[in-house]
Amino acid sequence: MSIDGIIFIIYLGILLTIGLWFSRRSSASTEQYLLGGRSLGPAVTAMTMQTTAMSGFMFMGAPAMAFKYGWYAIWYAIGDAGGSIINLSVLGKRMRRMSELLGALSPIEYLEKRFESPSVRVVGSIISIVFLFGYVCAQFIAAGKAMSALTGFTYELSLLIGISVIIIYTVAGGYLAVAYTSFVQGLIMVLGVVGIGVLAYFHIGGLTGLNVALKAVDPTYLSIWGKDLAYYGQWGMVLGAILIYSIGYMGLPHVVVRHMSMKSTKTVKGAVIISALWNQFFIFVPYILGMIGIILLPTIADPEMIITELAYTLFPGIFAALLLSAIMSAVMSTADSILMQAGSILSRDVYQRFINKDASPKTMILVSRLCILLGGVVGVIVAIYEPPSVFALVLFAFGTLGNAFLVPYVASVYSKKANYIGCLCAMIGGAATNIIWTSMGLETSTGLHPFLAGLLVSLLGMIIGSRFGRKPSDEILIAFEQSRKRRVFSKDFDRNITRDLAPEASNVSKFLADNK
Amino acid sequence: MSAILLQEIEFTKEEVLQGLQQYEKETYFQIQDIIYYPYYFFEYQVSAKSLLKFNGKAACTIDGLGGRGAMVDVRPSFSRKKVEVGRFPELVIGEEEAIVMAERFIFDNASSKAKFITMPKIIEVQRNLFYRPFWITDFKLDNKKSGQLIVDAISGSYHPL
Repeated sequence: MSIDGIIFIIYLGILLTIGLWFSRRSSASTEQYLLGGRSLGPAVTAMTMQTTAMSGFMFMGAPAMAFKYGWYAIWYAIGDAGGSIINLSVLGKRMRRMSELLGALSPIEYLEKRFESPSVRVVGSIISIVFLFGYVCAQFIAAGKAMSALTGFTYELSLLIGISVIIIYTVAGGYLAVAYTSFVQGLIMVLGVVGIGVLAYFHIGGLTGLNVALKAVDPTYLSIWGKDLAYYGQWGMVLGAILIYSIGYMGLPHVVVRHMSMKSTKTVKGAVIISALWNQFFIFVPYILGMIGIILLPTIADPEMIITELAYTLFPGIFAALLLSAIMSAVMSTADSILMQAGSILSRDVYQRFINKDASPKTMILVSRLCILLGGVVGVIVAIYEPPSVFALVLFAFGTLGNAFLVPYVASVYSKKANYIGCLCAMIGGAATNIIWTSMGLETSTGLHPFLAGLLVSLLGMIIGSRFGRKPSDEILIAFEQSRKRRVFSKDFDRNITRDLAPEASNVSKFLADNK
Repeated sequence: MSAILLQEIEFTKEEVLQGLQQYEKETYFQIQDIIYYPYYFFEYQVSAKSLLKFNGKAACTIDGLGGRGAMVDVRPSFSRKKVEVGRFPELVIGEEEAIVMAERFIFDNASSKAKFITMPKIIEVQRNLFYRPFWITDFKLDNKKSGQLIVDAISGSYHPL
């Protein structure tokens, strides 16, 4: 094994040590282990959020996209750069108030309670599980490719080693371990990608140098419509590319859950500012690197390996190994969160809720772990036998989740009329449209991005579907009105209201009314 | 009234009013009453196989009216007293029901955060029904709007009714 590979293995060892060190410290006191999350400040919270969201896609998918289409790929980055701010300002407060009023703890449970139908929970759970595993599969492929490039092992062997590390990491880490390793990973990711970016940027002569060189290769790389003007005049494609990452986050269950679990708006505000700043540093660089790859690595066999190759071209091997470890960081921080999320949705929202209501805790943990294992095995098989590109798989999974859930979440707090039929139509219609559009390649013939097509169908589904079936109950309408209310008190007073006391406040309210 | 287990008031009427007034200067607050809210307290010995040994105590409360669970940061101190003043909402969640809820809550919390490989052992160490005091506070805003808040007499945190 090369020295780079050894450094990489050492890095993985350090990361696991951090995880185990925190687990050990925490396991000295169970209270600390279980409540560790409450001590986290905005910086660690922001890093955890971002590293979970960004994934191996940013290191592999994004540059490959820019390599293929040139400046057109920047539309995706533009949407992504504003995503977290849009997400919080549109859904943030209303959803927090609404979920508080309904007493919902998970995003799928929230939809079930808001739309008053268990079928919403079944459909929602199935869609989220399938596509969360798709998302994880993309991380596995990225891990395999990164390991293979670094160690010189075959892709299959690298995949098995990489996934084993992810699984050990997932199982070993407690809450603090995950949070703090995410923080370290976040720093490495941003330093790694910006480091390569800065060197490559000056190497190529800045943006002017890049554009001049791109023009010499093919002037259409400079076009906003993509290489060979592939999407000329297709505003539907451009709009879809911007929308998928700017508003798509509102449809991801593991992102939406943060609106519901906001404890103090002080922490959240700080976290959002830090994550938005982090985004500006991070998001655009991989796309620019993809375009630099057109100039410096025109014959590269796998465009998803541009950052890897550039790192070796521009850095000495040791630094390259360290920087490339960032890819593994991105992969691991995303994969472990999603694996756990998918496992718990399957065991709690599906198995316990619909298959075995009286399932003992022992059965539940078994089901959850078996599901994670099964998902992992299926992921490995897909990744070995027919690996799709990381970009295509992430875009597909992200788009389908966004199309399924974005409209229901937004309608749940902005539309009084939205009911369970509308929600089911929006979820099924949105997800199915994205799947059909992508698998049949309809974007070229229609000029409509799969995400935009899915969004339109989902919206129509919600509007038309909500005309049928029973109307939302009075209880929901009251909660809806309350969630819309502007704050009565001053900003300071409102900010300090303890959301955790909402159930007590509601019970006391009933008691006082009954005893008047 | 027979003696019950309760938490002693830590934020007095005056302190609560002073605290609220600090944030909301233009609003008129008045403490109207006190209410003793029922909770079950459970303490468990938790041990499980993970990559590291996991062995320790964990505690939670179960809301006696709504059944919601909450992890306990600091073990509450109780005193047995006869309380003449104040009001006690009637328990909705029975003890047997609370036991099941607490075990499930601790288990869910522990397994999702500690990522156990095998089923953790959870042994009950302590169980109590206790009452936590909340001040019922009226407020009147300068725009004539009025309403009520509950203020936790232990932590000072508050929520509008």
